Amino acid sequence: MSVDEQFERDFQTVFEDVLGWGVVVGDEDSPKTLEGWDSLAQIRLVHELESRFGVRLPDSALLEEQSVGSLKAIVLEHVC
Amino acid sequence: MSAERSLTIAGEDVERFAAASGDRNPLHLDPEFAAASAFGTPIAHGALVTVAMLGSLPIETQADVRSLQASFAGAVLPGAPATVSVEQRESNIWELRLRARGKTLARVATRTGSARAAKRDDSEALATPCRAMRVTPVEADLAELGVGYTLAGRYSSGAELSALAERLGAGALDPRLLEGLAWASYTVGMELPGLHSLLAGFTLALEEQPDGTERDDGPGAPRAPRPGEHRLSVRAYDERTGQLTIAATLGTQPNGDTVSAQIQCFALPPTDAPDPAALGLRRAANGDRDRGLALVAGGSRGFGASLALALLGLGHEVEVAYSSSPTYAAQLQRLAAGERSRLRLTRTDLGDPDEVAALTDKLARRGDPLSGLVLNAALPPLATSLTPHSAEEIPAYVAASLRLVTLPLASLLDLLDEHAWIAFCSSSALTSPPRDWPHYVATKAAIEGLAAWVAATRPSLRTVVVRPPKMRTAMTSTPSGRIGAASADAVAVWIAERLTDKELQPGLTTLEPGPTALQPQSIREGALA
Repeated sequence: MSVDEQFERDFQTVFEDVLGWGVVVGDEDSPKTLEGWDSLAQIRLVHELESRFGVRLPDSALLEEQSVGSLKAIVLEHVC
Repeated sequence: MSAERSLTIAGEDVERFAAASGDRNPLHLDPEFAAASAFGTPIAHGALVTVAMLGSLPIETQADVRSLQASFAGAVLPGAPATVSVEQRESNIWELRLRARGKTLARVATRTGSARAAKRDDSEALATPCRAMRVTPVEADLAELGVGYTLAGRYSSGAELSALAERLGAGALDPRLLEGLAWASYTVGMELPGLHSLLAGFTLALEEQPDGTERDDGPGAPRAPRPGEHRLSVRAYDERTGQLTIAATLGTQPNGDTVSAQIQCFALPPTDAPDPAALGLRRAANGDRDRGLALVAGGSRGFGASLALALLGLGHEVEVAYSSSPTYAAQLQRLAAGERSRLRLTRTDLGDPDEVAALTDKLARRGDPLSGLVLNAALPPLATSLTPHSAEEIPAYVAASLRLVTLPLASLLDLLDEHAWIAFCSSSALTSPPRDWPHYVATKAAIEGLAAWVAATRPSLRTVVVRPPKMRTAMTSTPSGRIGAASADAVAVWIAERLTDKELQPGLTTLEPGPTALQPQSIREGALA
């Protein structure tokens, strides 16, 4: 499995852990399109991403509405 | 396939679940404690909500559930109607959603089939003694909750748990999972983090020894918990939001079968009491005390309490009308210390015309006109979305909140001195509306409309709209609520100084402190001025 595939798979796992078994997310998805992605779920998502990828994301990631794609970009920015 | 049914959790179910699970956290049981939480009112246990939702599964599926995943997005109130939808996602995965107030408040996914094979326990051997079950919730020391914190103790649920599950239609559920649900609730509400906590979700799984064999963890490994024993260990803690991840195991069979759990919860920050020094109470002792009587409607705790003490510090005599928090009222009286004789507190339901009339009579008999009036009473907003389902709940909230302003305003207007000030407490939420608070924003807009009307019809009065920013009060005692929140004391001092300023003009003024106005040094300068 390539590094990119592993990254995508890890991202998907984090969303399944927080938003529920069987959920499938695409980059365009956001709190507006995914049921259950509310402010508490957002905090859980950010903390799960932080522990899985070993990064610390800014407070704005905890508070502001993000799409899946923008969360990926924020994580990548902090991994490198 | 998807089906929907209505569900209401009764107050008695909450009491029964508290007794059966041992989760006697006052957030579920004590109206005064709950009034000082972000929810404002007692809420149902998340695990109880889960049991009630599982009651919507077909009986044969219920009996087959071996693991489940639950997450909670909003408080479920006893007595409030909700709907539960059931959907089979895959051959062995069912999903349940509970909706109310236009939002999905809880989601539960179940897996049917066979139990997981018990894994070797890889947690470190526990030095902590086996703790007895708690009857009152512990107040966790946040500094201690680091990764690696472990605890071993005793846990067993009450016999009435299965009768409650039966009543809720979940009687076919495996009794070990039912016990596991009660235990997850007890763990968070009583033990870790305990008193100030919020359950966000959990995954529970039955783990069995193959063919009922005796568990062998090998030499030196900790023994798996036996029935009546449980073990908790902190896997992650984040100090920004208080999020805790707990790995936990509950013994179910003498051979080492267990329920394993991964629990997500939050340690909530307790709300700060007003700080008399920051509020400038000391200066009252040698300053001007001739500003007359100010009444604070809604002021036993939070921003109202800070504002009452700040006004006292600036020379007002202060009368506080409060509805729900006698413990906090007593605390406020103590905090006033040397100025306590100039602070009176009266328990008054500001939404009750008779009680407001009695308060007005009492003030009228005293004969002194009011020189200031703070209209601060409000209902805590529960997360709500605007949908056809919730469309009628929003105006009901607006009306109930607005009453707490119009009733005291209508009665007290004629007691006001000709040049008195009136502070209408709005919010910066009006300029940047939070996603889950359409009802709160609508209420504050209505209050500002009322202020504009008063300014136009009583032009000699100094009518002030106050828009405090997000503050560290009970309303923001939530996981993300404290990020970027200002001190209620700092906001109160800033506003009280402007309300008592001789330069404050008749007509309408809007006060909205910016972030720089609330820097710590401006508090210190204010306190020394």
